[in-house]
Amino acid sequence: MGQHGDVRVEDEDSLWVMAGEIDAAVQARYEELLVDAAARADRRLVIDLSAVTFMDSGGLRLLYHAAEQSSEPPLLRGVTDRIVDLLELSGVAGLFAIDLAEPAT
Amino acid sequence: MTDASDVTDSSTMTLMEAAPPTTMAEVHSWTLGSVDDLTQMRNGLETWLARVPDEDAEHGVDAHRVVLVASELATNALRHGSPPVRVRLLSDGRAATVDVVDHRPETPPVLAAGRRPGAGGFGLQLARRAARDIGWFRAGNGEKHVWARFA
Repeated sequence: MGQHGDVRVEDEDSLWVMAGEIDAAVQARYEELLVDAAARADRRLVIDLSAVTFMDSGGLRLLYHAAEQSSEPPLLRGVTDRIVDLLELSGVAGLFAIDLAEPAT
Repeated sequence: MTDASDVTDSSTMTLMEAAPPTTMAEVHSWTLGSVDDLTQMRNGLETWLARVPDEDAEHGVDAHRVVLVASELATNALRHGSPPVRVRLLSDGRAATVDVVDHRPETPPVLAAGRRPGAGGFGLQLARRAARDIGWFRAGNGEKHVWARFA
């Protein structure tokens, strides 16, 4: 069974590293873990998206949990144009601090 | 987190009940049994969309948005529409339509403005913003179609 996207939690719950395709399948596997991590983390949450190749509202849901539970907007790192498009279409870009990915060339 | 309230009110509305333009023919289709099949569908869709010409033209199809919307509609159908779900790519050679078929004709799709990400109706709202237009119809054979047209 192929796992096409995953999430690693590091730095005492405060750094989430996402990779691959972050969709409803990944949401189902990681949602509980990340809700708990967001509740436990005692500093600003940083979410590294630089290795994410696709994200839809399943992934957005996971980011939203981070925003819901923190006192300051989580920092999204390595954000590609496609993820910016998704955040803006969804009207949630304002919930995060956004650090854009380096251009590909 | 006060900003979160911006996206948590929940007015709902009905989606237009109409068939997609009849000038488009099916190019390919994918059958999905669960959310674990989404990756394969998206990859296949991306490959087919690369063959739709005019991508560099101003009115060209934004392949990434087509894939995003297909993923949203298929996820909805898998959650609420009883699998298996079929994702169809329709094209007239220039524009593209994604048509997602499930077997719950009695449950019309719900468009929810301002729902939280991942809540019911959110994916369809996202699809409405990303596509040129979206709609749904019952086929009469126990099928429900939800479609999005790009152009």
